[in-house]
Amino acid sequence: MSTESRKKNRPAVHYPCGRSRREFVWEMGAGFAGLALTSLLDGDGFFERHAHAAGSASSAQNPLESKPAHFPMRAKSCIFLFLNGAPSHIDTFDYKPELEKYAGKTLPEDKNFINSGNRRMGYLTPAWRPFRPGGQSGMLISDYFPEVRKHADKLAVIKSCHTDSHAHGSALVAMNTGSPFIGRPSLGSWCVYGLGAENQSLPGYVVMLDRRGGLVSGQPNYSSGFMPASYQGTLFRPVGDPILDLRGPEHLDRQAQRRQLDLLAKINHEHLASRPGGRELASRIHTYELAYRMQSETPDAVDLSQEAQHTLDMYGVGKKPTNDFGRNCVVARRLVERGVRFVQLYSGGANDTWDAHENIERNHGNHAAEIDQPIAALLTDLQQRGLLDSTLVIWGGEFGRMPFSEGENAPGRNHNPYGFCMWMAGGGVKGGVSYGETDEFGFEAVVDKVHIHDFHATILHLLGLDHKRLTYLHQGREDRLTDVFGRVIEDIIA
Amino acid sequence: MRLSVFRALPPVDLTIKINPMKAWSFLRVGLVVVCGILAAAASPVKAEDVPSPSELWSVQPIVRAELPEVRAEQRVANPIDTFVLSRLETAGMEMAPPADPRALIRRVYFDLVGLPPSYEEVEAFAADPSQSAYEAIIDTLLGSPHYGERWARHWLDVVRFADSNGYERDSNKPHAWRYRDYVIQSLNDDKPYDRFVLEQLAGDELPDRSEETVIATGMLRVGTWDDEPAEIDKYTYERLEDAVHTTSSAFLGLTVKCARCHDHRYDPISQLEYYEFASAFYAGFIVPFENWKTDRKGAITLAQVAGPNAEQLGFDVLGWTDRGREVEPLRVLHNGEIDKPLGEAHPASLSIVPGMRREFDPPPADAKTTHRRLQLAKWIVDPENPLTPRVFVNRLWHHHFGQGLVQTPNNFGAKGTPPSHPKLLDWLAGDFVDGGWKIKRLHRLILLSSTYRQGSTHPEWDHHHKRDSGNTLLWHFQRRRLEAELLRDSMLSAGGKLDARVGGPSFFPPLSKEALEVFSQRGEPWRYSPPEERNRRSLYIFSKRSLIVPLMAAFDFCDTTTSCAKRDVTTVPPQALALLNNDFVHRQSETLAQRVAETAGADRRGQVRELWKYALSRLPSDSETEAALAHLDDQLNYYRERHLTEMEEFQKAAAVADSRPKAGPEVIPESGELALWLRADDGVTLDSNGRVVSWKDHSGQNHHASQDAEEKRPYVADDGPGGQPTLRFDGESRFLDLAGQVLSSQTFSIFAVATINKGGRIFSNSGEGSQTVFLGASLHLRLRFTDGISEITLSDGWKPLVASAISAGDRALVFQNRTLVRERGAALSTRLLDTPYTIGEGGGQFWSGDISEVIIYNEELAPAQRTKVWDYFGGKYGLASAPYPTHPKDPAHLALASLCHVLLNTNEFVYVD
Repeated sequence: MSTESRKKNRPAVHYPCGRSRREFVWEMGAGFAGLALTSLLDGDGFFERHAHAAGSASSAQNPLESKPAHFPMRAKSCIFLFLNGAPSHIDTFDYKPELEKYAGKTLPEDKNFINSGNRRMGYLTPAWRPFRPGGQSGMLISDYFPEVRKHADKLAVIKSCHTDSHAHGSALVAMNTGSPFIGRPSLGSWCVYGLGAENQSLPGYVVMLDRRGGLVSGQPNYSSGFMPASYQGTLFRPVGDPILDLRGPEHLDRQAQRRQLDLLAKINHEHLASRPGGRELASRIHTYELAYRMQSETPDAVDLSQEAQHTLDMYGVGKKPTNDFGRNCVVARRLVERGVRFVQLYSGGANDTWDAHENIERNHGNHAAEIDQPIAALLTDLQQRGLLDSTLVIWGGEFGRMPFSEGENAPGRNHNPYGFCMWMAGGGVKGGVSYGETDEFGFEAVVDKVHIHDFHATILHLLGLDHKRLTYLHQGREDRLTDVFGRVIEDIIA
Repeated sequence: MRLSVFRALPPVDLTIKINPMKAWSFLRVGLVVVCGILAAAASPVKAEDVPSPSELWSVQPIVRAELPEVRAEQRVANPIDTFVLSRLETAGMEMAPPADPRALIRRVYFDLVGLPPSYEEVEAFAADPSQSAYEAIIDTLLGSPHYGERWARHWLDVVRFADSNGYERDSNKPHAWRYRDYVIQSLNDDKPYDRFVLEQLAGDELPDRSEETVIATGMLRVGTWDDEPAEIDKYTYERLEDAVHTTSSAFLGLTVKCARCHDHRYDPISQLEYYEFASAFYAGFIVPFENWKTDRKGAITLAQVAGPNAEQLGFDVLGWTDRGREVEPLRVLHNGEIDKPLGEAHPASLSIVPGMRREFDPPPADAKTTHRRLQLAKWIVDPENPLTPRVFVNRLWHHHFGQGLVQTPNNFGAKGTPPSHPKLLDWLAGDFVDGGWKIKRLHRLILLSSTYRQGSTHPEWDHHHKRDSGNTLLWHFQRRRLEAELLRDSMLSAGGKLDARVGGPSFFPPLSKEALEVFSQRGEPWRYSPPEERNRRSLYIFSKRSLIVPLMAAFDFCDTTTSCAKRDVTTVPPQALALLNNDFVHRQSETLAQRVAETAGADRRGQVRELWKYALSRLPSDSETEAALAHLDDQLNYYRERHLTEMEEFQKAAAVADSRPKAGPEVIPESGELALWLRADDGVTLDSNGRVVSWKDHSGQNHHASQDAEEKRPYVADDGPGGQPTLRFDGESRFLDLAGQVLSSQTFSIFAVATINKGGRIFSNSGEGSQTVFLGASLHLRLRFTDGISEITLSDGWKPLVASAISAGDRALVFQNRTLVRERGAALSTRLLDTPYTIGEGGGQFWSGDISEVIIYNEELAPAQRTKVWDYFGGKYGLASAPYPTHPKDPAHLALASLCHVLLNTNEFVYVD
């Protein structure tokens, strides 16, 4: 095996880098294959492969410069509504009538699975709330989401998702970065890396956590991994100062700070004058002016007093239990309006998440009531403002939940990485459709399975990025969000 | 598209299937058309031709070339310069003129110790910039303990060091800091590099093993560690990859990990060799094993732990060793897939260095380990192995010049950048080995070269820049921005407050409440270190994988997940925001202002001079002085105006405060309803190990607290809140049972003096959560009082506090010190009162932190009565004393601080020429 594989890897002649590709194509030359490959490599951006790899002097200066997409964008921005803790697909968007029939029975023995956290095993349990048809499409959505149901014709529900981990910590990281192992750039980072930011006074990638607290595994969920930190998600608070260090001490008002900046500029320019060619110095001088602007423009993005009362009412702002998520949804829309590329909102934080081990009805009942109206309002609002076509809205969690209960007569469900659903709306997605299926129990994806790599590939595609061409040179490897996998789900693209 | 037709060909992996460039290999065996078509149809993944070892430059033997002849002989200070000049002259270019002595000394200081020189040191060198003065400076700095700190940080980046595990719980790694200190010490001792390698890879297998060499093997433990892996088998291979990747990147500059699933696509490293290499680590405690723990209630919790323990290591440190002298063989995995094991891998080195492949011998008869790592380490430092010195010499070059001779310091393979000066690299590598692998000797050589001593500007800038904008030919010294750590350290140093102590456990700087919001409930929290720890060098900031300190992250602190050979250098507005507004920076500005005022007095011109000396180690120019004085004027006017209103408000508030009695009473309110009074300064009985057997109830109700089980007893510490004795609970298993039924009424008042570490329960009774009474905290400094009230986020929650909770007939109140932090408008639902009561535990949640005193009344204490309790605590612990208004800051101080703040933001402060 070893000699064989070594032989395979060692052509007798070494072609210096750069020459080999062309020589290869040349040698293929005359035949059909050669032609096919030439165009393939060309169309693939093979000869300009480093155009997208950061690290050159210019990109290091402003990594967030707006960059052209690979092909026309369907969506310019993305809002990812992340249900932290994992909602039950069986109880929300994946109707499983068969479960009624099997209710009270155990899962067939041939279903192998990891009993996450060694929880008690119970019986197959049907959905806790009834499903009803919504919209022209008649898509079945449960009573946990009656308001979202009114938008059924906007949704493309992917029912055959599966992921690589059954534990929250690594599954969250997997949904966000493609790998259950921490250290890779997150989806939002790849988007901003690929497309840059349209508004230099705001971060390109914004994350809004649930007010109740953060995520397990923390920062790696929105980290830029091995890419520069400029691509990482910026945490945004919907109340008060949205980002860290936006305001100095109370005693330093705007005029007093202006005087500081003027003196700073003067000293810096004198310093620069004796250092010809100091481009990095000049660009750092420039960042102070941008920062000064950010101080006023960033709070403006979260200033909901500028919103009409009926808009706030639509989102349920100022009212329990929708206030917090509603505010975040309004802010998300305002950010997208201002050219922010990727916004991620979390529902559920700290120890109050969608992780309904004890009781689906209580947990999902409470949490869905917090977000159903705001999500519906977001879809309406985006549409009314003509933003829905250019904004991809994503809904889902890190995995799904089991079709059986935890323990006899217990009303909760354990983690399920084998099958779950996510949905998309707007930004070039077909409405009123579903894609893929889980088995009759909702236990595992069986038809048109969609791995998170496929899911990510589709998101990038809608944003005008080819997941195979969006590479970042890291430790000698052209790394991708989708590793060596990923398939665009063409069927849900309008 | 995946091509299932190839699934029938076992040795061909997915990557090859869809990889048109790999189709090259197929072409050679005649699959021209088939593969071309299939590859064209497949997703196009790119690849290079793989060179044979005889073709890869980096594995060829080191050849020390003759020194080239150069024209600019006057610039040749040592052999380095001949190589550099020779290339410049061929390109028709010249070295930049020597750097100004003031710039050079600042450069050398930052480079070697990471701190700026003082004004006096700069001036002394400017007055005598002779060769001998320069050499003396270098020798002093290389002899400074701060040299080891500065260069340890570079190495810690390479070995992906952090103090916590990452992942869900992100638990802190005990003793990780000792590995960090080992690196510092090794560098300060000028330990030969070959020995440094041997110790880190195989310190446990060395004949002269010691605690120090076992700590060195911590290199294999300081990476990420998932304590709840989804699949243990799969994660075992993931751990192997981490060990292989860190080792091969750090020491060899090879991306061996790329051969995990298939043969390396660019370098001559086969998949089998990956496993042969990995065998060295597989023999260790690499498999996460299950460690079942039973908690107090008999429930079983699962924690995945791994790595050798103190017994196996022989020392209570974070180190590495093998499971035995023989372990089961490691199986090669087809496509790296866990369910497709192929043959066994036999431990061996790589074959990439021609003629140096070694299959590892079985361990000697008396060995306790496999000796695989030792053999691997010996192969790495074998003088015949050209990679090791080339890679290390290049790292040193990279940090001195901002870029390496090889610009990809972690990749010396075919995809890496070839060396800009191959002969120089070899000359240095050869000299390094011949000189006994001495690192300080190499620093000295580099620093004494004219190449290093060039200025950062050039008279022919435009011309030269057009030819070589990346400065590959080294025609000037590359100006550099301070790294995150240096920036923070420089600010501390300017204010004269840098705590220069070397080594010891990491510290936690204070972070804003906003910065801490990111935590989930499962991870270990951020614990503030006491003020006396907080001004230590940034190297000692606790490196927590789920939360990088924002100021550090803004300035491109490295990712700690995988080996990082060079940090990003970005220039973005959030950095300006951080330096303009961050609280730390403002505190340093004020400290600096104070220092300046202490030296210069009220003379404003003198203040400007002193400030420039402290912040930039030079005197201000005339125009700078004028601009600074004008700024002081403007800000002073502004602050004076503010001050008038502030003083008015202050005087009013102070008058109110002054009318209050000064000291608290010695006693608490008397009441027949006093139910419990535990105080750590009186009535604590200890066992022979100094642990608490019982804690006397002073209420007269005899609800004494006690613990029969020795291992569950809390400790007593004498550095509790207010410097008073306290009971310290570890959050694992320690608690006390209270005798009798403490509460007898649905209205009650609970007061506790405590410090929250992680949380848990201070006081609780047992039963269903919704029916019990408890006072405690959740992780991340949120106060809890029964489940009828949601968690209360505290400001300054890390400080000792008096937590007070009152259940009244129509409402419930919670106070932090004297501040009402939560009010519930309705009574709590009826609580169970007749179940057992405990201190330090409730519902399986063990208190982590201090409890100094607990007072409980079976009634709602009226406001005046509450105040009495707080006054008592105020006098005893200095807690919850009535706040005295803060005196407004002096306008002159604030104006000067504003000027200081500007200087800390200047390009000159942030860049090194």
